[in-house]
Amino acid sequence: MCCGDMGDKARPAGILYTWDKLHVIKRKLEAKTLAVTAGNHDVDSRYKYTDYDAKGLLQSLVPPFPCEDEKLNDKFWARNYIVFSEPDYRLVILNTSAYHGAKEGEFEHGRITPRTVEALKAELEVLEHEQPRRVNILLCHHHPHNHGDIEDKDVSLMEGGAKLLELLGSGDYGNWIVIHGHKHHPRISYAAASISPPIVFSAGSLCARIYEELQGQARNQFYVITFPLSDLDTLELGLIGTFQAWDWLPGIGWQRATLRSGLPASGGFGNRGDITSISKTIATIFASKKQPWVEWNEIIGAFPQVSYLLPISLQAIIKKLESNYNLTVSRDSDGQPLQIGRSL
Amino acid sequence: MTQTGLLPTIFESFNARALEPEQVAKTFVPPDYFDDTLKRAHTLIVGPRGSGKTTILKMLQSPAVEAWKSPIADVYRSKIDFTGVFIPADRSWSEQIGALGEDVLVWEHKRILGVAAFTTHVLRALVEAMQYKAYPPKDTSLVPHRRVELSRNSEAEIVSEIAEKWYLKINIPSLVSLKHALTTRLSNIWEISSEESLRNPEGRGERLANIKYLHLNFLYSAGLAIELFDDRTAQSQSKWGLLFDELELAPQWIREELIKSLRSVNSKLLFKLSMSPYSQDASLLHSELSATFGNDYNQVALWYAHKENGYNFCKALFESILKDYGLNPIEPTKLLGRSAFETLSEDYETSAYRPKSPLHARLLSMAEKDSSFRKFLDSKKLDLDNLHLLSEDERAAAVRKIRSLVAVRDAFRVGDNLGQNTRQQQRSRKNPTVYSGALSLFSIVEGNPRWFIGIIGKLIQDYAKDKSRIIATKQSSEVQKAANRFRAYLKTIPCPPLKKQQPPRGVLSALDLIGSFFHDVVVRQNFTADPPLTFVVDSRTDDDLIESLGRALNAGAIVYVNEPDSDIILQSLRGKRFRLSYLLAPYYKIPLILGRPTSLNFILKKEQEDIWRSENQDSLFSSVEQSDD
Repeated sequence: MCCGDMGDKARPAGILYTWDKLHVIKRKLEAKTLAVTAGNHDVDSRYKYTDYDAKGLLQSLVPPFPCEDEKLNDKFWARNYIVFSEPDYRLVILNTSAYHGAKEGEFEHGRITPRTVEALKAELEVLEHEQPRRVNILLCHHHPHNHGDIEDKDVSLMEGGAKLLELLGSGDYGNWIVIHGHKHHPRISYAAASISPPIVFSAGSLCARIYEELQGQARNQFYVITFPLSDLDTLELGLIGTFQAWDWLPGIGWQRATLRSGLPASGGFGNRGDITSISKTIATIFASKKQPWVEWNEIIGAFPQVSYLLPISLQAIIKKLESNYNLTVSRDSDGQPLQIGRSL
Repeated sequence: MTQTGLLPTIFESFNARALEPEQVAKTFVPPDYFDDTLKRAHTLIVGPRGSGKTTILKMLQSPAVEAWKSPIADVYRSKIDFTGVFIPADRSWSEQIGALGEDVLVWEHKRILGVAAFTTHVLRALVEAMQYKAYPPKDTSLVPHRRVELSRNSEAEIVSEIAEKWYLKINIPSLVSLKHALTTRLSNIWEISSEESLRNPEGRGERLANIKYLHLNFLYSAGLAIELFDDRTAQSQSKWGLLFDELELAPQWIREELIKSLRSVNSKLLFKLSMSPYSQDASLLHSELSATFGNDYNQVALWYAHKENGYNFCKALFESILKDYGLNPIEPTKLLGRSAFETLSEDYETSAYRPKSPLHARLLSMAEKDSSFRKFLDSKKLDLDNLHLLSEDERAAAVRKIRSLVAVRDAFRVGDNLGQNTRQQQRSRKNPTVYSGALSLFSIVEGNPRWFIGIIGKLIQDYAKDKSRIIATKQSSEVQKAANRFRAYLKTIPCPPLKKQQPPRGVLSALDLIGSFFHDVVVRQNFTADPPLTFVVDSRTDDDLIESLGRALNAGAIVYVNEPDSDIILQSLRGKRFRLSYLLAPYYKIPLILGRPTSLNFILKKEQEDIWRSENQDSLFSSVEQSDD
């Protein structure tokens, strides 16, 4: 999956290069699907390379963009979204840069119009009626809600994002994860109030130069996201999953991410349980083992829900274990929990 | 003894330092002397840059021993009857702490902090080794080596006790936590150094004295932990090998600490130290070791004064690299050809000297253009057309030893009529192919794995791509590239000026004078069957020059021709015999043979006079200098 911005300021050379490499990666991974959407840097909204057709380059890419199916491609450009329904998952690819180049200032932010939300709603209604999916993914470029921890005012937000999240979080169309780019700020959060708040996975940038204000908390990253089909059925926590993250280190290459990378080397999402009761369960499991210390993996074996906690929730639980139960959790060099125990 | 799977650019990129033990084991080829490093005795592993010291030490740790998959690995596994604890030299022992308090902390305080960092490093490495023994990876392809059973309760008890003795506070009584606590301690020592360099010096001694862990002795602390661990795991007879790599990088106080520790009576500990052949610690080491063990310690030299001794290892490495590229085994001579310096087998010998053979042609060519060679033949009553009829012994006495000399002389000497005794009395060959052939290349790489991979590994890599024969010019070109890089490095080794207005070329200036002298004797001057090709450092040699040559020895540019059973770590080079590295031989156009010794002073004096005399003539090596200057 690529959340858009294959190039920089619509420069054709970068876009062509990335489009080719994405297919190389697809081939090497033997992936069935390459899911890509358009970013603001993929559209020539300032008409630097063309005089009238901002999306012309994307539309002339070979293989065709965003997918092989011409009918779906036409829909992507005409209706600004497409839907793939596979046996285990549903994938919506949304074009939030659809109006870039049309109106002055439009390129400064993303947009989903009420018309698109309505059209998507109508289509999901039919599809959901036919066969609901356990995993539902929406891929887009712009962020549907703000990252409050970085800046107060963010003008590049997807306009209409709240409506989109309301639709996906209504509970009527399954449980959703939104995967977006644009921010260069790796982060996982849950959308604000709705019935089934979607998970919002803000993917960091693979290779952009990181903005100064983000340099202390973000790296160039890529991810492997896993949806555990069996745990989805047995744990009944809604949509859950895990991720692994890698950082790019200049001169070294790809390395497992660290605790200060944006997203750590690995973690989870989807388990929104109460941290006090989760801490208590962990302490009880520890006590039942009657050992001076226990591997964290043993805790996960007995209580798999722990794998699907957000990194920040896990951090809060570790703190609680220490304050309430005098239990310490040690971490490995990637910052992942390693052992839990207390001194003799 | 190397990682043939990773083909680097020449020299620098190939260094075992950066590799995990499992990676080192993946393609390890044991050199002949590997056995000597395994003995249950203190061992000094001595060799120049790139000779594989780090690889050898890394191979003595359990993770490497277990991951080693070669068919001969089982034999060695049973021989390694100690648990190796690899301790790399770390900058935190010296530079960082030294730099921090450079003008602020007094030597004594820097020493306390440096030794504490060193102790912490050793203990951390020890805990890591314990952890591996108790919790090896769940990889069924590993062959268990000295693993132990350790219950969590036992572990918790041991760890709690060790932590108390080492003044560590740990929240989880596990080996992992103990290791983490030591990592934290390292950063604490750094913080203390930093803080102290800013604080009022008044009371500093008192402050440092009050931090108990700064005063732990690494030997007692390690010994105590080992005893607790072994007792709990019912291994009270087991031994632990502390493997200290690159000792010369450690500051003096650490080296002293370590050398003194060799006197330890703790029978559970073995010390395996890797170092360079020229070391200021040599005398201290010898006295400590001799006093303690009645000479019962090993010295393992990782170089081959006599080139033939390195051939087995080179051949094994050659096979291993072929295998790595998925190529079928092939004789090195089939791929690289025969060497002009090769000692021939008896069967081959007779036919090699028949009229019209290449060797016969070379001898004939030499006799035609070189009157002094003709005189030599006459004096020995040798008829070139009848050499093949001589008995084996006759040939050995008369001709065999001059083959290498003739090869070089013929390649580089012009005819007599083109001038006598001048610097032009030689052919200029940018890419001398006389040094090609399997055994020549094996000699040139000096059994040094880093050089082997840089030169021969590169040739095999190219062969693997296009399967075309590795022609002589290609071989020479790889050798020349490697030699040029090596020469560039040698320029960085400082050396006192040996002549007026000498440009700053480091120890290379001295080596060039020596190489030029040997070249003159072999190529320009009247033919002699026994030319000097080694030098002895005189007692009168300048101290600074000796220091430079010592560093050239550590770099591998000169090779110590040691007598059997002599000390191989030298405090001074005086009175010792050396040859130039064969990697430099194609540059100096000298043969790959040992030759008799001559005095260094004689060489330098002679060359300085010659240079003065021929000041206006072309530079001797101008044709091959190229990127070198």
